[in-house]
Amino acid sequence: MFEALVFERMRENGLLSAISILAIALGATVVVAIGLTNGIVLASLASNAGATLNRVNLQIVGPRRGFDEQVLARVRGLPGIVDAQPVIEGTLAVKPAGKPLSTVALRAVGVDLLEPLPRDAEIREHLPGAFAFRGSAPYPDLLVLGGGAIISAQVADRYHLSLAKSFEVAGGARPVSLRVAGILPRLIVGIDSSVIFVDISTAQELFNKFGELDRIDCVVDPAQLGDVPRRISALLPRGVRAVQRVNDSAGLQQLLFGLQGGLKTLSYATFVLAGLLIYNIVAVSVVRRRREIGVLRTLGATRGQVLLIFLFEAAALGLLASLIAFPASVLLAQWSVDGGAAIREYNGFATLAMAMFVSAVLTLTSTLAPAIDAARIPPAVALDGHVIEASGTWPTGRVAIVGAMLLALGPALLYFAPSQSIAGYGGGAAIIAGFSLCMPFLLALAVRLLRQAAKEMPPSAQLAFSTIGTSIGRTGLAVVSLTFAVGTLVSILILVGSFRGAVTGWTDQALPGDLTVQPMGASRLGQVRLSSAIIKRMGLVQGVARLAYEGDRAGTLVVYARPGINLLELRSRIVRSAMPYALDVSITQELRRHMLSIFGRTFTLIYALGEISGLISILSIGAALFALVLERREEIGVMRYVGLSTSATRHMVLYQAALIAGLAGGSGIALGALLTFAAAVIIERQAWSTPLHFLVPYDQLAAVFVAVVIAALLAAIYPARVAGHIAASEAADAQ
Amino acid sequence: MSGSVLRNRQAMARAAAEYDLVRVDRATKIYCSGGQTVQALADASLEIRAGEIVALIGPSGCGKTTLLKLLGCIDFPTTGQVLINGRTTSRLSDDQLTRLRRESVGIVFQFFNLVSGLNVSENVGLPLVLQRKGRDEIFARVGAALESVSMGHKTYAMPSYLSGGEAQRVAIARAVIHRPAIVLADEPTGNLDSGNAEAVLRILRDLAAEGQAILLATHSLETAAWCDRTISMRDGRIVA
Repeated sequence: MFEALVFERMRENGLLSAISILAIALGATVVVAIGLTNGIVLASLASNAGATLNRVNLQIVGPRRGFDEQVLARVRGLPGIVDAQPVIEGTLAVKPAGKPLSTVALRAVGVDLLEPLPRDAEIREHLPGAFAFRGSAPYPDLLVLGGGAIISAQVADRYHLSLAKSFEVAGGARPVSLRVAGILPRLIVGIDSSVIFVDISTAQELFNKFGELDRIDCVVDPAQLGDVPRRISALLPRGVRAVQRVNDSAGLQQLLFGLQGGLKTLSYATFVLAGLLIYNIVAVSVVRRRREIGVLRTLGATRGQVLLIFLFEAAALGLLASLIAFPASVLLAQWSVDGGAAIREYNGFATLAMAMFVSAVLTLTSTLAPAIDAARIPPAVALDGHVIEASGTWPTGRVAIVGAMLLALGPALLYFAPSQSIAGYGGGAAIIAGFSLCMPFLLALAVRLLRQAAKEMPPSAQLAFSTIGTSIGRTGLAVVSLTFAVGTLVSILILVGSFRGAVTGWTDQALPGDLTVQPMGASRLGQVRLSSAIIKRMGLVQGVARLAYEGDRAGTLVVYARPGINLLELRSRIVRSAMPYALDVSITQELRRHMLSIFGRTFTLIYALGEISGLISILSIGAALFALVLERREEIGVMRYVGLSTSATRHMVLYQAALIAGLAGGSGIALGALLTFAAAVIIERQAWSTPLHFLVPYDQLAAVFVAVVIAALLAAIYPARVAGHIAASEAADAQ
Repeated sequence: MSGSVLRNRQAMARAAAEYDLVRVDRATKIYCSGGQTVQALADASLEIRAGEIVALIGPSGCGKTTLLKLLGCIDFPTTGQVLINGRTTSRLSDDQLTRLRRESVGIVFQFFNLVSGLNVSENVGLPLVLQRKGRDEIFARVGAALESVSMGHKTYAMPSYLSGGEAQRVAIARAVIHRPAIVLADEPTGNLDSGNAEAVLRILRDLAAEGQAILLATHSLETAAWCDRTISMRDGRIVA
C-alpha cells in the first residue's frame, strides 16, 4: 500500500519529481565526475609542471662519452634515493623508405622502459601496459627486445608511420632499423613533438654506447638532499659528478593543490545546492500532503511508517537519478580530461556504485528533515481545514544575528588560524554559512521595502511582494541557493581570470622564447655550460631572431625565432650548427601551448561546474515558485474570485522571480567578493612565488547578474502559467 | 457604518430596487465525469433584488454550490442563462467575467479564505486594488468597511492572529467594500460558534437593510430564519 502511495504521488507530482531527479543527477554527476577526473587532470597538470621544471632534483652526468652503467646499481642502493633512472639522449634523423635521410633532427631518449619514468607519470601510462589496456600495442616486448620505439603522433604523421611498421634512423656510427611499438597521443606533455623514446639498450646500440650511460636522473628525498650528493660523489668514477638544483616547482604544486581543492569544494557545493533543492521540494510535498498524512495517522499509520513513505520516495528518486548520473559523470569526466582520451581509471561497476551511493546520500540526507516533519503531523490535521503552512514562523531576525556573528568570525578565522588547519577552512565555511543565514532576513526586509514601494505599482506587483512574505523559509532557501551559486560563479570568474593571468605569466617566465637549448647530458640543470663559440655559431643560424642567456657561457639558452619560421627545421639547423657537440633542443613554444591548454581545460571544467551550480539554483527557483503556487493554490483561487485576472496572476509570479533573482544576484556578487577575499588569504598563506593580481571582470559580473535575472524569469514561466490557470472555482471547491 | 457609505448604499438600493440585480433563468448544469453525465442543476430559475437577503438551503449534493458558482461568474450554465446586473454571463470572455466578478460579486467563504500574506486592511482593500482605485479612496473605504463590521481595531493584524469570528467579519468587509451587485455567502457561519455566528448574520442582515443583495447558502434552518426568504433545493432542482 505504501509503495502505491509513493509511486502515485511521484506520478502526480510529475514536474517536481522530474526536477528532483535532475537535481540529484546533476549533483551526483558532478561529485562522481570530479572524483574520476581530479586525479587525471591534476596528474596531467603535475606532469606538465614536473616535466617542465623537473621533479628530478639530482642528476649524475659524465663526460661527453658517458660513463659506466654499473654506477646505476650503486646509486640505487644508496639511502635517500627515491628513484634513479638511466638516460641516454641523442639526436637522430629518420630515413624514410626510398627517400634520402631527413634533414629534421629528432630527439632520441633512451630510458629503461621496464621501469616507470622518473619525471613523467603520464608518459609511463602510454608505455606497454597502457597500450595493452587499450588494445593498440602489437608487441609490448618489442620495446625491449626488438628495437621498438615509441614515437609521437606528430612524428608518425610526418613520416607516415604506423604501429609495428619499421623505419630506419641514423644516429651514431651506422643506420639502425626501429619498429613502431607505440604512438603517443598529441597531448602528452613534457615532451615536444620531435621525440622518439627507445629502451636504454636500444639507445646504447643506436648511439654506440654499449655499457654506458649519458646520465642518471635521480629523485632524492628532499630531507636528505644535503647529504646524498656527498655520498654519491664518493661512488662515482673520475669525471662523473652529481649536480643538483633547487626544484622551483613547489609554488606551482601549491597552485595545483589549490585547484584540486577548488574543484572538490565546488563539487561539494553543487552537491549542497542540489540537496537544498530537494529539501525544498520534499518540504512542499509534506505541506501539500498534510491532510493525507493526517488521514493515514488517523487510520493507524505509525510515525515510522510515515517517515518510511518519504524515505522510500527519496530512495526511488535517488535510484532513478543515479541511472542518469552514471553515464553523465563518465561523459563529463571524459570531456574534462580530453575530448578523445579514454578515462584510464574508469571502472564501470565502481562508477555506477559511486553514482548510486552519492545519489542515495544526497536524497536521503535532504529528505530526512522534511520526512521527520511529516512523521510529526498529528492525526487531528485530517479534520483541520487549514493545510497552509503557518506564516510568520521564521525567526529571521534571530537567525540573521547568528549569521552576522558567523560573518564576523569567518574572516577572523582566516586571518588568525594556522594555515590549512580545520579552523582555517572553517573560516571560509563560516562566511558561506553566515551569508546564508542572513538571507531570509534580507529577503524579509526586501519584501517589506518593496511592499511599500509597490503601492503605486500594478496590483500584481503588490500581491507578489505581499504573498511571497508568507513563505520566507522556503523562498529564503531558494534565495540562499541562488546566492551561493552566484557567489561561487563570481568567485570563479575573479579567481580563474586572475589564475589564468598568473599561469600565463608563469609559463612565459618558465618557458620563454621558442626554443630552449641546453648541453646534452645535463638537461635543465644548468650545471654544464655552452661555450661562447657555440653560442656565437647559433646566433648566425638562419631563422634565429635573438638569443637570450646570462654571462659568456650559458647553461640554458633561449632562442627567439623569426616570425613564420618552421621551428622543427630551425631546431635541426641549431643542432647541426653545434656539431660535434650534442645539444638538447626543446621546442618551448609547443610545451607552453600544451601547458596552457591543459590549464585551460581545467579552468573550463571549473567554469562548467559553476554553470551546473547555477543551473541547479535556477531549477531551485523554478521549483520554489512552483511550490509557492501549488501551496497557495487556494489563495490564488480566492484572488481570482475577487477579480485578479489571468495575466495579472502570471505577472505576480514573474515579479516574485525577479525579486528572488535580483536579491540573490546582488547578494551573490557580494558573497563572491568575500569568497575571493578568503581565497586570497589562503593563497597568500601558501606563498605561491608568482604574484597573483586579482582582476575583477566588472563586465562579466554585470552579465552574470543580468543572466541570473533572465534565467529566473524563464524558470518562472511554467509556475506562472500554472498560476494563471488556477480558476476562481478552486477557492469554492476547497470549501 | 460611516455616513457616506450609508448614503451611498441607500442611493444604490433605491436605484437597484427597480430591477432584478441577479436573475437565473431556467439554468441547467451538466457535468461529465468518468464517461458519465451528472445533472447538478436542472431548470433552475430565481431572482434576487437589491436589499434582499435570500437563504439557499438543501442537503449536500443538492446543487447549492453549482448555483453559487454560476452566480459567482466562475462557471457557465449548460443551458439557460444567468444575468448579473443585466449582463448574461455565458456571453462573456474570461477577462470580461473576471471584470464582472471584480465589480459585481462579493464572496464570503465558510473557511474565510483571507490571503495569509496580507494584513486585515490589505485583505479588505484587495478588490479596490484590483480595480486600481486610488490610495486615498482605498484607505477611506477600507476604514469605513472595517468599522461597519466592528473590526476597526484590527486594521493591521495578520489573518493568522484573528479568531474565526473576526476573520469572517473581515471576509464580509472584503466582500462588500466594492459595492457588488450581490454577495454570495457560502455557509458563512458553518465554522463559527453560536455567538460569532449570530454576530455575522446580524451584519449580513444590516447590509441587506442598506440595499445589498445577499444569497446565503446554508444547511441550517436556524440560519435561514434570519433571511427575507428561503429557496429550497433538492436533486439539482429548486423546489420551493
